Amino acid sequence: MSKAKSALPQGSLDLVILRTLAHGPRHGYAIAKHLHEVSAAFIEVEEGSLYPALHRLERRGWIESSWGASEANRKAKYYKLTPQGKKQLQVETKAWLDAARAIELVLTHRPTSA
Amino acid sequence: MFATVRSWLRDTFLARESEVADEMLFHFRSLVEDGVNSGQSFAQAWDNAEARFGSLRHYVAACQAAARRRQLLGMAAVACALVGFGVLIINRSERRAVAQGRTNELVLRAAHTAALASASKASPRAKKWQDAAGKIVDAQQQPLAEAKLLVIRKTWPSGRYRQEPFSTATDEQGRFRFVKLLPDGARYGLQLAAFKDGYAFKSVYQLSDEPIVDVDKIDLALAKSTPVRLVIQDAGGNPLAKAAVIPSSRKSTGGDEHLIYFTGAEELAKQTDDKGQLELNCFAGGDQAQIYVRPAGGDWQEERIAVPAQGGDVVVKLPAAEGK
Repeated sequence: MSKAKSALPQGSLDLVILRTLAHGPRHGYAIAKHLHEVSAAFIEVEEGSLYPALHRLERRGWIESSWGASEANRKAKYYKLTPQGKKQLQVETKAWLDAARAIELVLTHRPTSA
Repeated sequence: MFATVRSWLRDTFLARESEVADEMLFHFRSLVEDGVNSGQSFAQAWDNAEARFGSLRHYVAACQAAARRRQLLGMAAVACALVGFGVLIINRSERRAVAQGRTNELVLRAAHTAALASASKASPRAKKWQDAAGKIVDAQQQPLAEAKLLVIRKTWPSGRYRQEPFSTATDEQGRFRFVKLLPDGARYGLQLAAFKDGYAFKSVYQLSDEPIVDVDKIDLALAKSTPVRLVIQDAGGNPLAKAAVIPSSRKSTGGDEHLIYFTGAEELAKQTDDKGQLELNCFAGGDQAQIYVRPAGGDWQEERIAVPAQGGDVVVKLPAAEGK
């Protein structure tokens, strides 16, 4: 596995984690794997970023964790979206779309000649 | 071997407070197993996992933050987690007779990272804040009272992006003020939209390092708008009652572009009647505009509309929902 990581735009990690958990509870490793797969290998989240983000989201009450059994029947910590997290996901999704649209406007803007 | 490592970690260092190490260990083991399943030798898979699992700095900081907040996980737990991880490496390195120097380097790096994280202080906060203020007038320079100001403040505390909405309204003289809105001396972004029914809304956006306007004097003149009647329909052309609409952006015939961020803009929402219609009076004739639309019981979506020069009806047909 390459050490090179594709940088996520600043502030977007929380959003993609929340979105991933909207599909159902997952442990941290499954979240990282899901992001890697659905982004066509573009998103490589470092563990050093992923777990602090999960802890942070849990403290904010947007996700909650519980210990369960993994696919291989091993003890794993699962995270799931809370109702508050679902609302936050909607808010952050819209905020992200706003920002993306604004950037698109800037990038495609052509000044009119005087 | 994993069982041995886990047992050793628990018995020796972590005792009851081993969640951090357990979670880390699960992830590490999953990486190794996936590597083996993909055809790598165990040693290769371990090396790759170890290389990938190298960045502990943020992890340590988060563990410490969690410890401070919960007051259950003391600094010892974090240190133990680090030492445990180092021991895990040592254990494996000894078993495989890997050069001790490299192992020591990893353990020392982890210890150094922990020290750095311990020494790090709370995120810097701005000591001074400045107001954002201005005046909203009409095309004849007459003050517009009760115009809504929707602000998005963007800041980067501790290098992390934060976006927060604020709103207020103008007084009788068309003046507004957001007290202590912007950090003085720290980087920020300011998006401000001025909205009043009957006038084409305007917005300004600037970054602290690319100032365009004086934030103490954000003066905007709003021209009269061209009323349109939106007709919201589903994909089959049926009117959608109780659909909510929020103006999103407008590009004038002169090329000026103005935005209203969705965040914090729900107070501008209007709802369609039983015929799927509503009056929208915030665009200028000829505008290329965008609106947010949410059918009853559905999700917000964005639609583009062309505002007729003389106003009138604009039909917005929403696409069929996925899977339907």
